[in-house]
Formats: sequence, C-alpha cells, structure tokens
Amino acid sequence: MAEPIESMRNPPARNLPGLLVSDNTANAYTAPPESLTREDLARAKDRFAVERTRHNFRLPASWRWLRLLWLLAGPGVLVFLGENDAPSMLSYAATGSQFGIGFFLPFIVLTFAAAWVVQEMTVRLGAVTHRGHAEMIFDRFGPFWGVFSMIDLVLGNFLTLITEFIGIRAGLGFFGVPPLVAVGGALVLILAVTMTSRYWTWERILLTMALFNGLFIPVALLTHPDWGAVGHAFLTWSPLPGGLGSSNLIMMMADIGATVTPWMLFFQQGATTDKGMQPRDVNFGRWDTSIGTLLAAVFGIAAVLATVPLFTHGISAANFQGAQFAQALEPYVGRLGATLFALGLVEAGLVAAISISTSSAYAFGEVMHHAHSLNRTVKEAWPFYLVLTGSALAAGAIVLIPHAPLEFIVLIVNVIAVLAMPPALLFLLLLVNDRQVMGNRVNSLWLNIAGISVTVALITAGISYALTVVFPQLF
Amino acid sequence: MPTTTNDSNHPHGPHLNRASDSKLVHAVLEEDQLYAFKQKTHFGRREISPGLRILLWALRIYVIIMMVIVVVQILRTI
Repeated sequence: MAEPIESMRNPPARNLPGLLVSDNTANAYTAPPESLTREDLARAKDRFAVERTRHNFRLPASWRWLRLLWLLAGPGVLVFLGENDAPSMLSYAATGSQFGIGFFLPFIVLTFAAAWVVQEMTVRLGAVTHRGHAEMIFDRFGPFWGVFSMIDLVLGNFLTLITEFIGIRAGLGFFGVPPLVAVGGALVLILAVTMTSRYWTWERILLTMALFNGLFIPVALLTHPDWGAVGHAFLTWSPLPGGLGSSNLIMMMADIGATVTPWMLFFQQGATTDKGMQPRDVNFGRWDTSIGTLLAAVFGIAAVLATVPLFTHGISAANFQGAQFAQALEPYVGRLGATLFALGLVEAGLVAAISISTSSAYAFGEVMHHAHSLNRTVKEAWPFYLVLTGSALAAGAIVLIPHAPLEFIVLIVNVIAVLAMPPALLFLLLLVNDRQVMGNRVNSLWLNIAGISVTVALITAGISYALTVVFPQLF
Repeated sequence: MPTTTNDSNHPHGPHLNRASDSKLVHAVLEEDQLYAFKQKTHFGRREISPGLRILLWALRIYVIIMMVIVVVQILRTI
C-alpha cells in the first residue's frame, strides 16, 4: 500500500528574507486550483515519483537511494556531457595530437574539478530559490548588471551554437553526408526532442543521447595507449613539450574553455528549477554533478588519448578541423575507430546544441517574465520555444552560408568562454553567499576558497593569454 | 475543498487534472515552486557597496579589454 498523499506534505516554504511579495497577497499564498498551470502539474507528477520513493520504506535503503538518484539525476550529467561539445572534443583532440601523453591529462582533470566547484553552487541556488540564474542576477543586482551578463551569455551561446553545427557538419561529412542534409537533419532532431512539452521526457532522451559521448573511449582503446606513460603523466604533470610558451598557454585556455563556461551556470540552475528540485535534494544534485564531472573527464581524456598516434607519428594537426581528425586517425584505429570518432563529434554537437539553446531560452524567459519551462506546450510558452529553436535555426543557417568565417568562430569560442567567466563567477559567488536568498544554504568557507581560487585562476589565465598576444617576444 | 481522484498506486504516478489535483500539487511542491506564486513574488534588490561596485566595473573592463585582445589575435592569425 502506497503512502497517502497527505503524509508526503512538504515543509512550508522557507523564510527567505530576500523574497518579496509583489502585490498585497498574503505571504502564505496558496494557489487556487484554477491558477495551477500545466507546468505545475507536470512538475508535481515528477515530484510525486520522488516523494513516493522517499517514503517507500519497504525498499532496502540502498535501492531507495539508487532509485532517488535515478529520479533526481539529470541536470548535472547533462551540463557536463553538454559541455563536452564539438569544439571541446576538437580541443582535446588537438591537445593529444600536439602534446601527446603528458601535462595536459592531469590539467584537464583539474579543469573538471574546478567546473564541479562552480556547478555545485548552481544546484544549491536553483534548489533553494526555484529561480533561474538570469532572474536572480536581475532581481538582486538590477537590470544594468543583468544586461551585461545577458550580453556575455547571448554572444557566447550563439557563437558556441555555430561551432556545434560546424562539428555536426564535419562529423557527418566523414560519411559523405552533404552539409545541407547534415544541418537540416540535426535541426529536425533538435526540434523533435524539444517539442515533447515534458521536462522529464526531454531530459531522458537527452541523457540517452549524451551517453554516446563515450564513443571516444573505444577509439582511445583502439590506439593501445601506453598506460605506463598515462600513469606517469598523472603523477608528475609532465612532460610539457615547449614549456609555458604561447601556444601552450592558448591550448590551456582552450581546455579551460572546454570545461568552464557561462552557459553551464544558466543551464544547470534553469534545469534544476525546471525539474523541481528542492533543498533536501541538494545531495542528490551533488551526486548528479559528480557523475557528470567524472563521465565528462573520462570521455575528454579519451579524446586526448585517441589522437596521440598523430603526435607519435609526427603528423601536424595544428590546423585540423572536424572530420580531418577522423580521416587522419584511420590508419591507426581503422575504419571502425575513425567512424566512432566522427559519430562522437556529431553526438557532441547535437547534445550541446540542445543544451545551449535551452540555456538561452531559460535566461530569456526568466528576464522577460515569460513562461519558461520544458513542461509547457509550444502554444503556452511560444517565446521560450521561439528563442530555443530560433537560435538553433539561425546558427545552423550561418554554417551553411558559403565563405562564412567559421574558422574564426571556432578559434575564438573557447577563449571567449574563459574570458567571460570571471564576472559570471562573481555574481554566482555573491548569490550563493547571500543569506537573504540562500538562508542557511550559503557557501561554506572551503567552497568560497575553492570558488575564489577558480575565479583568480581564470583571470590569471586570461591575463597570461593577453600578455602572449601583446608581448609575443616574451614567450 | 477540492478532492483528489488520483490513483496513487498507478505505476506511472497519478493522472493530473487541474480541478481535482491541487491537493497533490500542494503536497509535493513547495509553494514557491508554483508558477502563480513566482509571478507574485520576486527577490528584492541587494545593496551594492562601493567596493563591490568597483569590483564589478573592474571585471567588466577586464572582459572588454580581453575581447579587444582576442580580436587583435584573430586579425593577426587571419
């Protein structure tokens, strides 16, 4: 016999001093049935499954925990596998082909650890406030600073979206698919996944697609990596051919940009809110984020290892784009390995295109106070879906323009992501330390030290990069 | 008071219906998760101290300078 609904009743809303009532409605507001939306009802259905599991004491505790993890995981895995996108995987591939096994393997793990610190904060912020990141910035800091954040987000997201379609086009190009068919097919798939009008369905489809990011693992295994050298690299952070020269610093920037970007903040907080996560789910949110971090780090390192044969055989891959990596790898990993590499690139582009356009749509809806939930129908939330699909359509169209400066965009996209991060991190740190917003869920001392360290490291990386450009003779 | 007609034992959870299921919605969602509640509430503006304002401007100027440098590098590369 299942628990009666009444026994699942949640504690009353937390008393967050920063939360103000816009009109004269009493604070203890209870929505009448006619004010409930499809969004509320769908979210309640998902929460019902969570509460039913939480109260099902007939299940062994370990099974109950696993079932809760299954129900509550999603945003964390998606944000990290979404960030293992086409330009990121190309960046890892370039790392392996230019530097081999060495310094960059532990360095990539370090960037993922930094990303975990940042993303954990968005889980807490979303679960406690039930609001998206853009909305919180506008509410707490006002539209002046909010608009700056939105400019960073919109510019970065759109450029990154273009690179996702470049990756999809290049990956499918390996199989001889014409660009128009590749981009058109990807757009149809993106529209189909997005139009489910149900967050849970969208999340599960996207999670399934995202697991194909693991295609880089068999490619790496087909290269028969030197595991002794891999172990040595993790223990000694070496070798680093070329030392701290200009090209290495740019590669470091690209690898950081492949892991820590502004859209991830807006996406995970938006998805956490849309999923309906609550403060008591935060630990599961942390597990979700940890699993995503681990999977993305392993898949990213696999992409590095996959292209090490190019480094070993002295093949210059400095200017390789998309499918050229797959073609160059074919003599070392066979047709199967090259095919998996190209498919991995397509998957990376598709999942990221959906995640990134969703983060833009969440931010737009939050700022404009339009309905912004994947639990809404297109008719109910057309501005949200218009931004989501419109940005994907526009990015896809640009990729098809003859002589469009696509290489220019690929070059700058990860660097722009790193450079735009410090202000975004400052807003995040201020929000998660704001007791009026977070109550007793504010950052601990250690999380603040970690968060500030990540911010300082990103600023240092940015300044180092600037110095290599302005004073190239020094490097 | 609306009554619920949900079948809690249904393998896929209850079938929700606006008129009859507000009881369930209020049982499993926190009130500030409801769309109507969110439309009526907002987080108020925080005070931005002079030190924080300087920090925000410094990072904004940092981003602008860095973007110029990116453009310079791209122009050199092309």
